Amino acid sequence: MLSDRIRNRFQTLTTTPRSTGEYRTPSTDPTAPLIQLESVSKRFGSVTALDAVSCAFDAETVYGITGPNGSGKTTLFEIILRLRRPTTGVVTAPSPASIGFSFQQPQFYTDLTVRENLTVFSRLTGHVDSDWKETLVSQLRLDRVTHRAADNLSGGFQKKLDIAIALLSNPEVVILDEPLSDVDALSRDRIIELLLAHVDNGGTVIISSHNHERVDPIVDTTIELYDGVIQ
Amino acid sequence: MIRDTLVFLTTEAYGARRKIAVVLIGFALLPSLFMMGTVGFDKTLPEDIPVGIAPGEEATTDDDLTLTQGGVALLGTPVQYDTEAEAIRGLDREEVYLVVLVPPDLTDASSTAEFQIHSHGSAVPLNDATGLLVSFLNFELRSLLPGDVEVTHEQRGIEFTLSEYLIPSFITLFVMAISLLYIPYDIMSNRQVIDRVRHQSRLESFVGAKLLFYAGMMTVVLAAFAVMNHFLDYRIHPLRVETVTAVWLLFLSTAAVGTGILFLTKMNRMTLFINFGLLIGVVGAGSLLYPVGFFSSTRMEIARLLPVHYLNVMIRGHFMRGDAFELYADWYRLIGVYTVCCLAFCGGCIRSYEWRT
Repeated sequence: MLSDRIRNRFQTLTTTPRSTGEYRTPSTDPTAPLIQLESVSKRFGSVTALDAVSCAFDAETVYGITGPNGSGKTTLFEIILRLRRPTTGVVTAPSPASIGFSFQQPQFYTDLTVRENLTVFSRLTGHVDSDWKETLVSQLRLDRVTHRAADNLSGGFQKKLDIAIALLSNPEVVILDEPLSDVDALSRDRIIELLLAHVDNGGTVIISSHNHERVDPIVDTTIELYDGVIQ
Repeated sequence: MIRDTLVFLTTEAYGARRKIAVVLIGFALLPSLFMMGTVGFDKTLPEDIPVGIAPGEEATTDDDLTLTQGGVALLGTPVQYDTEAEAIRGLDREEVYLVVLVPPDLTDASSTAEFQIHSHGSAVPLNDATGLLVSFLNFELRSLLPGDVEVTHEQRGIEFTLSEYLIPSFITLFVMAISLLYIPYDIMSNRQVIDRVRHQSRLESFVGAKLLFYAGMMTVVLAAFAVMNHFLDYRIHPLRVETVTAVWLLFLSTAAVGTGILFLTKMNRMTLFINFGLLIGVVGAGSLLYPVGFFSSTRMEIARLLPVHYLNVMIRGHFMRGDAFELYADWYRLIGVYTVCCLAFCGGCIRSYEWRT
């Protein structure tokens, strides 16, 4: 009913608290974690997506965030990426330029070709080694589709293009939401190789999945989320 | 078949319930705005057009001007100027559509009062009516004044065709439709990449690039008009620096408002309905096709509150009359401030969007 919708909307507006969460830059102390969340909560109206989450992420480690759909994994990522402000709590994280990401829904220009997308995001990042770009293209087996519009790619290729864009600038931290779903076995192995090489070079990888078995073989530490709470 | 139709009707009803805001705006607010847009239309014979009155000679007194105003009031809305030059400048800027130059000694029954009436050939919707208006004024002044009255009519500039007159108005409508409908739609169609843009760059840059790209495209549109102008032997000036500048200002200010509304609604599809309503409202109220005051003085007052009206006059002036920047220098200053305000509104809406998500 319309009256219910209006009441719900009003409740959302009146019950959504002002965001008091804050961001801090990581300290220069090499022993300090690269990313740290302290009592971070995120509320959307009366829905609590994250509830007093505290966790830390160090360099040279692969983290797995697991949990069922709606457990708060994507919200956690969006907060680390500064795409959403926490309602309360403190987030210590490097600048967005130091973090690459790929979400479940690929984020690129659908009307541009694979090559054009890589060029655009290389230029936005500003410091991409062209050899590294070609390595990503061949490692992720995108070379066959570089001249195809991204919109016309299969789900697997779209996922790989999104991961390539996330890794383009060789960022300190890579956050990947369900990176191993929708891709064939060979591509999955190639993605894992790239991620492990990234960690060997001093980077941090945070991947999420609602399926433990998919990420367990490659993660060093697993964080399990359920209803916005770390288990 | 009837049963299936009823089932589909039920589906539409379910869908409409979920999209109640869109339905309300599309089917209730828009028709209401359209109705509001018709407020003040009454007659098609111009009765309330602004008519400038200025002394034709140094000896013309305030009493002479006041007397003439009485005669003009039945014809249109009198606007008094101190000098002939100011009145002609007002005619060139479409502040008035006729100028009556008043001779001295109107109350002297023994002399002949020689009035001069000026019109402009670019006011095409008034061209046919001008002869009638001059005769009417002649009649009014004869009945008002004690002596003989002689009225001469002079037309400034060349007389344009209706086709030529409609082109700048079409440009204004086209630019506004692109700015309010296509630009927000285009940004919405890039919605999937917005988070990456926010992460790797700034939304302001993303939007700024779009506005600049399409401002460039407006020049392409004007170039197309220039080509057609050559083939059709029209006497318009689509690619003058002044014309391009005025079109860019109209585009930037309107697109900034349209895009700002898009971010204000968190990139909701409802934006297109809101902007469509805005387009209809501004086109209806801005007297973009007819001279202001053609239908009523109320509509003239409303139109003159809208920056789009002035931009439309400037575009028409550059397009048809080949007017220089200097003629509209004061308007350009205000439109510049208005454009900056529109861009600031857009920037504020983007910040608000980022803050609210």
